[in-house]
Amino acid sequence: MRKSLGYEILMTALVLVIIAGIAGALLGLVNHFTAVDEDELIARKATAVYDGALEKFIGEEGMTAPMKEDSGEVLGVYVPKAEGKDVYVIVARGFGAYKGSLDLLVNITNGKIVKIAAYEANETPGLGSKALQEGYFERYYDQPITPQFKGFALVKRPAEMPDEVSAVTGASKSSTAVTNAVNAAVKWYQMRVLKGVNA
Amino acid sequence: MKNERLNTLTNGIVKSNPTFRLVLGTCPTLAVTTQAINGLAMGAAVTFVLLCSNVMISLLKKVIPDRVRIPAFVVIIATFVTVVQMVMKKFLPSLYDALGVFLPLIVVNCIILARAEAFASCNPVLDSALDGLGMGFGFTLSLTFIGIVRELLGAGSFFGLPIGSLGNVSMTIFVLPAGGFLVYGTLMALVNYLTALAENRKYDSSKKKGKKEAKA
Repeated sequence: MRKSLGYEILMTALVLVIIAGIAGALLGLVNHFTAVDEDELIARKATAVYDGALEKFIGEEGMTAPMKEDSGEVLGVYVPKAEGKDVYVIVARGFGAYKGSLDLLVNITNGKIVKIAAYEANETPGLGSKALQEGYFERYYDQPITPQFKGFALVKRPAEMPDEVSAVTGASKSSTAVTNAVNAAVKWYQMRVLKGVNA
Repeated sequence: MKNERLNTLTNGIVKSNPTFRLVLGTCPTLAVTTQAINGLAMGAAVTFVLLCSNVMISLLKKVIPDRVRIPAFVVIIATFVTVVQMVMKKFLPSLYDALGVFLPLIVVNCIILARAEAFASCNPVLDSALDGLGMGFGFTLSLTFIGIVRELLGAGSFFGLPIGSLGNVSMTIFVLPAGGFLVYGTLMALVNYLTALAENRKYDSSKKKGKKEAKA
């Protein structure tokens, strides 16, 4: 009786081990063909804001140290492979979105934001998604980013000052997160490029 | 035999539709159908997992010990869900992001576990495959239909394409959770009404046929 119980347990365990082993081998095989290189993925997606080949920004020691604040953070910076261009494609995360946070690609060329695109953002279609459209992003373009610039201010009325951006009606959370992400990118540019501070 | 197999295939699409008739998998149904494309992608992912897990479980039904059949089923289902995740992340990253946490949660989708336990574990491979396909198609059709209605009313677009100036008069509530419940409930009532109507007609015609035969 004891022998048959032991045999049964052994066989049960063996079957489960074999199934798990085959599952693991199958997943390993699929992973071999579908593995995603995150840097390559970002560089590929970044072509939405820069027309050309990009590579990860290394810079001087400390320039790529992570910058995180309560409202936003910079996840990575990419620059053109061709040298001599003052172009920075910044992957910035803004907090406060309807679904927690959203990631944007911000292209700062010659001290101005020239293009913004959503990198990872899934706001509600027809509502929060309105703050992720080109028409809304254009409100941040062409503002000179100087060391004195204090970032964009989100207002719930038509913008009057150059540094003001009016929120999308009914999508104030998404507008806040977009502004937070853009301000994180702006701050990185000011701290690491304009001032060269390794903080 | 051929008719039986056809019945197995079509059962999940109309008569035992997992969404409208069995009311299974309600959580992803309400969560991902804010856009038609999301519903279609979710349905396709579930169909793939249903088909593969049903076939595998049917093949291994005599090998898997009865006591550990549920953990074994979950391992098999989780494997195929992970395959779907990997493929989607590589080739359809925007859909992968849109489906979010509901993609890995297919592992515990009650439709898949129910078909594994109630059908695949006691039926031949071909029947199990047809059952998986039928249920998957039924789920996909339902999710896509709900997605089309919600997107049209809530965002004024069809599969992401704006329809004229419909976006200006769209009702945002339909892309919010409350609108999901409204659309789901209304469509469920409509589908059940139409199914009952069709069944009544079928019953009446067979009754008339029976009376004629009795007279003759």
